[in-house]
Amino acid sequence: MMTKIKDNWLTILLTIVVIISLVLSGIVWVNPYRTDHRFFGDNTSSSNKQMTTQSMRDIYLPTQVIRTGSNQGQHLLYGQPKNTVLTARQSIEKWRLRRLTRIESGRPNNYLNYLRLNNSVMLSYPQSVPMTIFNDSFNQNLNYNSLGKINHIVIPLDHSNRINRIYLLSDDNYRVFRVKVSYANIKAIRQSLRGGSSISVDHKIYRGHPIVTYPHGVKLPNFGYQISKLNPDSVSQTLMSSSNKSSSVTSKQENNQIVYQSGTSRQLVFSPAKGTIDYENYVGHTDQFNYQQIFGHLYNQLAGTSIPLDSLRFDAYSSKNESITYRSFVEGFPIFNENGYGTVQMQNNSDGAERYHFSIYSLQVPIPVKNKTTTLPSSAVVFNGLRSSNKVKDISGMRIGYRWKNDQNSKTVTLTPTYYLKYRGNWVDYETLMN
Amino acid sequence: MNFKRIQWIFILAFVLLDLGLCLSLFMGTQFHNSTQQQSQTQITLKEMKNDMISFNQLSNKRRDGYYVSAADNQQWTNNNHLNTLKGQSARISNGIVTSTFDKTIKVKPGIQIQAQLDKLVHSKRILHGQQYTYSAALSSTHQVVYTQTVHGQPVLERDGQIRIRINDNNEVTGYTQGYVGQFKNLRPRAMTVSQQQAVTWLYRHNQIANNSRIRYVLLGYAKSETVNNRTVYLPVWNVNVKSKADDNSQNLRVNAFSNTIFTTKQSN
Repeated sequence: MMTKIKDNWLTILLTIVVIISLVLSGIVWVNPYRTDHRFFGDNTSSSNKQMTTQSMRDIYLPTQVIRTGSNQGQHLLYGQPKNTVLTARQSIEKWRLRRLTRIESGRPNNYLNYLRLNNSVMLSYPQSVPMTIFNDSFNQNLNYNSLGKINHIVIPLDHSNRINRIYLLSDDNYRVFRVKVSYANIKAIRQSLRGGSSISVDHKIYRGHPIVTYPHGVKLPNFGYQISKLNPDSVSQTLMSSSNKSSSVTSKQENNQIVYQSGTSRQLVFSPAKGTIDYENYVGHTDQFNYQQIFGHLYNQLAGTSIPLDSLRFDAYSSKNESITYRSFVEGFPIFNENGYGTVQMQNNSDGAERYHFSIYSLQVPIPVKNKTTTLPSSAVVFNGLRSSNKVKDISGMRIGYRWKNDQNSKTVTLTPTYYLKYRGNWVDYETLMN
Repeated sequence: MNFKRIQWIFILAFVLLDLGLCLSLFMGTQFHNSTQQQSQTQITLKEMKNDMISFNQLSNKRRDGYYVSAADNQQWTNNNHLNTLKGQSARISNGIVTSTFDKTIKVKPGIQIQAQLDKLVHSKRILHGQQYTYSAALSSTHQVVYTQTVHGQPVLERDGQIRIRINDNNEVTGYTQGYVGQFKNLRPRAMTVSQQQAVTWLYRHNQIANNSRIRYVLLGYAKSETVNNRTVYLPVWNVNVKSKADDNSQNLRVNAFSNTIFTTKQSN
């Protein structure tokens, strides 16, 4: 035996290198280039685009981090110095996810078991995002035909710090997909969970949708910010004179509003009382984008507006009017204001006109606050209140958000937490709803 | 040619092929930056060269940083305490300690300067000296700068710096010192813009004059508002530009989170 090997070692060596080259060729063949498999929707690059501080990969990141312990006890995490979402992205973008396998579908209770997977951390989007957006943010190349939209990413926290699978969850029909990954290192993710604060939470299925509930009263910090203000004149210049230099922008006062016009197709209305801007551009044709593409398209439009993107994140997509709401977030919590401060709505030209609706006010530099915390009751108390006032039938969602109180004269704001309820399709805070 | 020789040639060829395939696999996974954005910045950088603005290689890597706050304490030490420091006479005024050594300290100029001064700064002769780190970019022949650091980046204000005076005879005569206490995170870690983004923003907004040289582009912390007795510090790109015509240099600062010009009273 040994002599045989000795005699033929050259042939054996040759066979080995040939096999290696075959394997490598196979990998290259199956996985040609992971570079530009992204859907940008379109490629109209605006000159402002590169100046944005938040790329598409950032604005469509998950916002919520929930850690599940060994007995399905769940905690929502916030204020971790390392920033778990950012750290997870930096880890996952180095992994190679492959093979989507559906392991659950259509069974709410089994779905809940994955939302509460023992020893795991879950990153959740405010609303589902297309697979192409997940692929772009996390530098992956998963097939969007098997799983089109994603709500949650569940990362098991095995003791060995090496994992071989993660789970992608879609609230749509309670589907759970297992994705393979080779010995991915989760050490950095585990470390990023340290520090900061947490509140006890639980998942429930409410009217066919999983929601996060707060079984105990919660104490949350208040957050302070300096407010920055856009100049409507320069916004109108950016939006209306960029592509069509021949027609100049005119402005006139009309019923306490300032109306900017450029040619017959573009109009921008600024309402000083509310600080809102409504922009309409009649492009005269419609652009069709499918669900996988429209997120990229609307981001590109947003990047060309000169609106500061610093604290903005994707919040909601409406298929009815093909629009996306981008909202300011603080440490993973959404920020609400009745006049839409810190919120941008971008609508595609599905009816011939593209429409942007946004506020001139946005949050800039954080500042320390004097009144440090606010205490909120448990979500059961909130629902009891809603039941007794007979409003519960019109509620389709609940979350804790931060209220930005209207005050046009102040240069700073203190955001305070409260319950927000989706009442007849709009997010309304609990106190307002009960009055 | 015998059979053995042919086998050798084949082995060599396949090993080369394997290496090539490995290389292409690794390259394939590494270059996934948005190529479009890159090229736009490259064009701007070329325009800058045409405008006789010279600079060393600028990184396109995004970094990370934090919004932090610090105690706004002008009285971080007092004259009584300063009197106990050996071999010097030190006084505090407006939060800045000014000290003159009784005997000057001879130093050898050149690259070794850091090692020599580390001994002094990290000794008991300077309060909290251990918390300061040498900054080559901020130092010159007659003034060597040590800074406090926030998450590993230097504080760019004199409030968080020790500035050591060196005379023409290469002797340390004294120093000034500011000290910032109790840095606390205001928000978790976030990504900043890259060196390239910061510099091209300044150029596009006509902040960098033609015929000048960018000496350094440094990520550090600068002070913003003071609210409720705490001062907010945030990461900025400090771009030091020197005119080629005369000796004037200026520091341009870009808010590294929002990529807009950062203006506060500069304390230099």
